[in-house]
Amino acid sequence: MRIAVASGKGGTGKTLVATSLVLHWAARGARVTYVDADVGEPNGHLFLRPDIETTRRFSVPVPRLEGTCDGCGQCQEACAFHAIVALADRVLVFPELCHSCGACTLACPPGVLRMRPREVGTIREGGTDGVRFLDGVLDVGEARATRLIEGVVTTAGSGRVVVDAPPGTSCPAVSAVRGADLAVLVTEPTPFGWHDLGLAVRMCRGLGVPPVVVLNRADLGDGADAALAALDVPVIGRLSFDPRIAEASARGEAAIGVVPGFAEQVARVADAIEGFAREDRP
Amino acid sequence: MKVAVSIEGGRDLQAAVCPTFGRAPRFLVTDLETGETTVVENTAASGAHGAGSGAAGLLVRLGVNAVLSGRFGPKAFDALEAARIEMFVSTSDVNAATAIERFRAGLLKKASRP
Repeated sequence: MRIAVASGKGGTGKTLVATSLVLHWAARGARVTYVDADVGEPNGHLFLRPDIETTRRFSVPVPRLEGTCDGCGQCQEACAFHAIVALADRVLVFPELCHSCGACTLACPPGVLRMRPREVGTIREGGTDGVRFLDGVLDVGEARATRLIEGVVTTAGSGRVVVDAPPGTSCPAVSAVRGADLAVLVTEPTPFGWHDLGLAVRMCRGLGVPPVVVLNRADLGDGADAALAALDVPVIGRLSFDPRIAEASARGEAAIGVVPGFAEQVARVADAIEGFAREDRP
Repeated sequence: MKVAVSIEGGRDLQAAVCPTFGRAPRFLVTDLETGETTVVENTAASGAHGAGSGAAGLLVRLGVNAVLSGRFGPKAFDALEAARIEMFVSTSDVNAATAIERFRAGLLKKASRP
């Protein structure tokens, strides 16, 4: 069972929910893997404090000219991302724009463009308190996170996996949610929260991943009932606002261990997720 | 010699110079010897990334020798420089015809690396 914790709007509590869920399950003896797929700014490690056992560099294939270029320009025509400019006798590759599709190498008549690896980030693996920990760290200056996200999610393999997705609903979020059995969308009762929740629900349905909602800071704001009814999406939990959660987070502590009452709310979310997982399996 | 100008708000010599190169909606390309003038849509302008490199690639395919625009981004600069297309900075408060006249008169400065 792979669960993606996503949100649409940033700062709604994805990492709080994802780290709390894995600590909850690990405390009950379950084997669980936490994956931080927010590779541009991974922060799950701050709360889980894993011992990192292995790190490996992650590469993506990008084209390189290996031979004589006749300047025909077919590679440039084939590239949808303007990552390659054909000059008279060579090509100029902008690797940070390349999406690694390889179309330029297929289009090259003399076949002198080859895909070669280029390092863009690091995958770290370790463990803590019964949780297997994985994260991806995109190199500073790299623009494209999707391949690294796919790499770190794939590394997690099967079993009970919780993916902490990047915010938004664009390619990085899609890469983290695609293939999950369930998307847990964390939102907050604000107009911005509702708006982006709507986008996130549509993203999940487009990917064929069933969405459920966890409403964070549920006792603040208003308009929740109308907004949630309009989206027609199940709400599996409500987390109350508590300044002590923010204080624990600011100290880099997992709130589930230190804030009274929060563990029970997380447990209800976890049980609801398990209920959904059982329904899915015939 | 073929000269391109980034333009917006029109499709002829009266169109205003566009202040940005990569995101310019189109380019006016004129052959200074024959006076032949064409307008080419910048198909790279609307993408999330790669407008500069895409627009530069377009001008490379058109065989342009020089380009006039308000500003060139880093990827556009690298690609145009590699293709030996000379970059000149024009103010955007004039139309393409005036920019070309100033270029012919040697009044435009070469762009510097962004």
